[in-house]
Amino acid sequence: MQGNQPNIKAIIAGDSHEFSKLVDQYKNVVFTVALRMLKNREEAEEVAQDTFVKVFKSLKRFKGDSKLSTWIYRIAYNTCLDRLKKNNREKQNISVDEMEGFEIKSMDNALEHMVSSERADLIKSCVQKLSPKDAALLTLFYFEEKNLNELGSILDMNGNAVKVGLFRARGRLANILKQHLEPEIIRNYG
Amino acid sequence: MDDQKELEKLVDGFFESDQLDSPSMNFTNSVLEKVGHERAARISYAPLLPKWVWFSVGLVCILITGLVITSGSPDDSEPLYMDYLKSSSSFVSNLFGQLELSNIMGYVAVAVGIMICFQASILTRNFNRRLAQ
Repeated sequence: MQGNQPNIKAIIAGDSHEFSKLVDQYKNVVFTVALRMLKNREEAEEVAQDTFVKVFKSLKRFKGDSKLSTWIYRIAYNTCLDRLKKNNREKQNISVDEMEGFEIKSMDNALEHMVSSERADLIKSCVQKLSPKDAALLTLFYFEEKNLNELGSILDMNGNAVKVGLFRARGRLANILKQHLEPEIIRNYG
Repeated sequence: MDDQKELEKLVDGFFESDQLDSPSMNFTNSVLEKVGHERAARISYAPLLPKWVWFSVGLVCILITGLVITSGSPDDSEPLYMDYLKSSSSFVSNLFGQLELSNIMGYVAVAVGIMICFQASILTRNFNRRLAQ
């Protein structure tokens, strides 16, 4: 590994400095995924920490078949699923209603006229309402992995299932967004 | 199809304004601390007897057996160990002569023996894996 990339061999040999470099590099994505899946900051922090402890313990078994990031996110995703199972909190998906083109355009216009801080808050509250799997899928797709096969390897799905999952997750997000945006805003800007 | 594209565009735009969340300031230190605890708590497995002791025991056994086999006076027509074998076989036949085992009993004994060997190998592998983690 070169430059800012963590040296895996050094980590396996017990180099804490290299390991802290790895943690710093991936902690934000891992924490964001955990937070959006678990919907609780304290729990997300705990699960994110557990993820890195697992990474440390099993790094010697990392063969390099996939990217290091893919491998770390898969551990994070599975750790979150385990926590959800433990707490019996596997949220069911909301139904996807067909949405008309004009509705989508109205929401797009309404979003464009929002102040960025307002929009950031709206994103957070909408993503909060998604199911853990949809939240993980969209977060990883938009922040990290545009490659559907790599994304599938993180979420244990094949490329086509990821494509369909993304389409459905977008639809569900748009439904939540529609409920959040006040009807008068849609009327004003639509 | 157009609606799909519109939807994709909407969500793309939506996530453009999105930002990653950050964990607490001492996140990395907490992880390093946990890893340190893990390392300290890890059981270090070492066999009770090192390999060289087993080799020495094996060597001593071989030497003693060799000594027993080759010992005895040169005039004897039969080596000394034949006496041992004869006396030991008569002892075994006296002891177990009256014991009658049914076929089923024999099969059960063999089956239990195989099961114990099989489980021992699985348990050994399982414990080794757990200790390696």
